[in-house]
Amino acid sequence: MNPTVVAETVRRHVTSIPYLGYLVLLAIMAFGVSRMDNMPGRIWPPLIALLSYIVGCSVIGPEFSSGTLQLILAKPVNRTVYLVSRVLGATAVVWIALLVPMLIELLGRKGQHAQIILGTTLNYALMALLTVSLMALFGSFTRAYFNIAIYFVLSIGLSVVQGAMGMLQMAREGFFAWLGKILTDFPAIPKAIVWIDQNLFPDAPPRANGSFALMVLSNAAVALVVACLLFRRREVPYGAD
Amino acid sequence: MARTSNQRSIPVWLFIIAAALIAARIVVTLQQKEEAGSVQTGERGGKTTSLVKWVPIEQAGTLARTTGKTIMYDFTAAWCGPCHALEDAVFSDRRLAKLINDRFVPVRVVDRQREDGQNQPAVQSLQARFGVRGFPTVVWADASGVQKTRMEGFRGAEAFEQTVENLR
Repeated sequence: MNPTVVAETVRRHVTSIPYLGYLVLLAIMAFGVSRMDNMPGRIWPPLIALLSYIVGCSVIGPEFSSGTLQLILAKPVNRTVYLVSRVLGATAVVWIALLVPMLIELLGRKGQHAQIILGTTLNYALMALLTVSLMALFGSFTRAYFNIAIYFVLSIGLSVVQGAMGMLQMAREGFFAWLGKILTDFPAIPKAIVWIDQNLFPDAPPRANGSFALMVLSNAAVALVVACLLFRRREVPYGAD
Repeated sequence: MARTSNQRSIPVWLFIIAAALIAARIVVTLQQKEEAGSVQTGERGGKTTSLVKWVPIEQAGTLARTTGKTIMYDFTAAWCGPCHALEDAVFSDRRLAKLINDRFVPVRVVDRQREDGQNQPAVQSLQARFGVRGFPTVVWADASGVQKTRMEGFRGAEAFEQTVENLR
């Protein structure tokens, strides 16, 4: 890890007006939620996920298009160290934002539902690491903001496929029923699709959960390894775009 | 050349971290598979603070008939935030948990659609019978499966207690 790259990534985001505005929005949301007895750790987590997408998509891919990467790699910087540092920096930006709603809701509720609030915070912190790692992976072989495009195409595509599989299994006759029968006869197919979806885009449980944490961390680590291997071989010529 | 090879060195330490995490995950998954029997009928998985003595789905009908109690089905899911809030406020409350254990046959029906792509037939059948559209949904029914009342969503411990009181 390169502390300079991490610190610069954090500084660039944290000192921007839109980021500070986002923190204010998170604070307002968390304060509002803390007034509702039946919704602990709700409403604001999707905003954290959104921030992960916004911050995460700036890693590697857009740097290639803007020429930043060409300038940085002209120096004796280890590519793996650079990529991992960028991912950690971007994740730290999300973690800093995560502290705001967590503290406001904990204080607002005077410690009530603390397990749910802390569990939600921890799980979204882990999810941020996975999201940014996946963005880095998709950015390591593409340019510009294709990383976020791939991310959403995969996410939506997997949901659509699962919905279609469910409908096929309910079909009574014709070609669709035949396809549905294949899915019923080979349950490994729908299970594999669900497994991929759950591993890449998991639903965060509202409590701290060891197996969820291990799943997210191991998937983030695998994504980073593949990203580093791809980025290691990538040619970054001047004037690429 | 030396600089280029250094720049593109293989991330050995990252391989080691990833391998260690995957190994830990495999071990935990294998351990969980051994305990999988109780996941669908009693517990949601993960840490729980519930003081309610949940009864497996298949035993609920017989138990309700022999004791003359009403069955209380708690339709829930591991990813459902309000379900955990319900557990915190109601099922983990000593007084309310005692009230539930004394008066009802409590059955937890855990939805695993998102995690496994499908539910066990018993879970699916109960969800269809009571028209469960969201979580948490708590349904009170007699031993023959006729619904007495229901509560959808988490509206606080007082609302829950009021619903239970109205059942008298």
